[in-house]
Amino acid sequence: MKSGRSSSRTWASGGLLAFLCVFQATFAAQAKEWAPPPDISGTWERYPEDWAGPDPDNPVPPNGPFKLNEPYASAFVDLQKRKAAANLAGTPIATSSTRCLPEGMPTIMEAIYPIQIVQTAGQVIVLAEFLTQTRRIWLDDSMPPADEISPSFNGHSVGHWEGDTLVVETLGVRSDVTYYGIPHTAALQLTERIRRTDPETLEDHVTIDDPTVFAEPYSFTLTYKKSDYRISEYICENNQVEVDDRGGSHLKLGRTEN
Amino acid sequence: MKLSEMWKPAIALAIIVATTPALAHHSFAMFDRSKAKTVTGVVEKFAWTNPHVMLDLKVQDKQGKSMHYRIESASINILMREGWKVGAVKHGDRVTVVFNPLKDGRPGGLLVKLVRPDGSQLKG
Repeated sequence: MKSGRSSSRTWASGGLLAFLCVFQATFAAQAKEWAPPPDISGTWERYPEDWAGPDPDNPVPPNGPFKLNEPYASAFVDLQKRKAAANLAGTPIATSSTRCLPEGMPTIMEAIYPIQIVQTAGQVIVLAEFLTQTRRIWLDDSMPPADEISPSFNGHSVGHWEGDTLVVETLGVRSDVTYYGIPHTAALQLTERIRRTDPETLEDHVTIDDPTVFAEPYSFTLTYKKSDYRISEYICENNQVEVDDRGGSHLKLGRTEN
Repeated sequence: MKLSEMWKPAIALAIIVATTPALAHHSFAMFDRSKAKTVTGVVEKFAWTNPHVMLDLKVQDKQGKSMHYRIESASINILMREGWKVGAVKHGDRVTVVFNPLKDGRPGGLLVKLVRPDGSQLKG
């Protein structure tokens, strides 16, 4: 039989080992907690460059045709007809952009012009060159109750990191914001999964969920490439286009003759 | 050779190679993208503004009658990427512009190409 001293020594060394393990695990956990979040900061441009398709008047939906419920499906078909007729007549239907208003979420992330992402401890901030917009994503924050969210073009966004992915939920997008001309209800919920797929590439996987309008959630992935472009001020001076009573837009001319 | 004749091949080329203007704040459907017109005139106003840079041009015909054209171009950021510099065009410059005319026939259009007094060209 081994001596008691030997046994206690075994216990003592075992205890020390256990302590070290716990210490190491605690330290590792803290280190993990302190680890900086993935870096998605920088200036990003949509990729590929021809993402909108060949005709800017008929941009291609990012993931195939929309599956809409009635009456939204019929309204969308009707809108395409009215758009085509107005374009043919040279009086395109005015959009929010024609009126120098933001496109809203999720279109801001389609980044017609480059976007810059800035990360702070509590926020991920998207700075869009188009209209010099700021979109804030509040990190590790809870979504406020619906009646505390003032409807806005880009809605209220909260996000958290899941490994290398920033998961963002957005509610409270203004009721007059449309997506490819499609309206939405107050129940609209947008979910994004944003991550860097390589040092030069960022992707934003977006899901639009609004069961009254969409027959099924519509998901698509926007891809961006890192850019050294310096974003400049872009204030839209709505001094160039007139919108008539029927919503058609016309180039505003100065004097045309002597 | 008259300037208008000299421009014919350039216009044809311009129509063929005219890439879709970078996405802009409004539709370009008010312009007839299948046609290109050329006029030469004196710059009355050059607005270096967003959403679109705008050029007002006074064009005189042989009878001495003046017409005023308003030519729209892309946004500042797009034009700077195309090589435009601030002050690329000045009040009083005599320039030639190739443009897609307005579908409604009014004297205005979308800039395809501009030739400056020194002969250098800028894409719209």
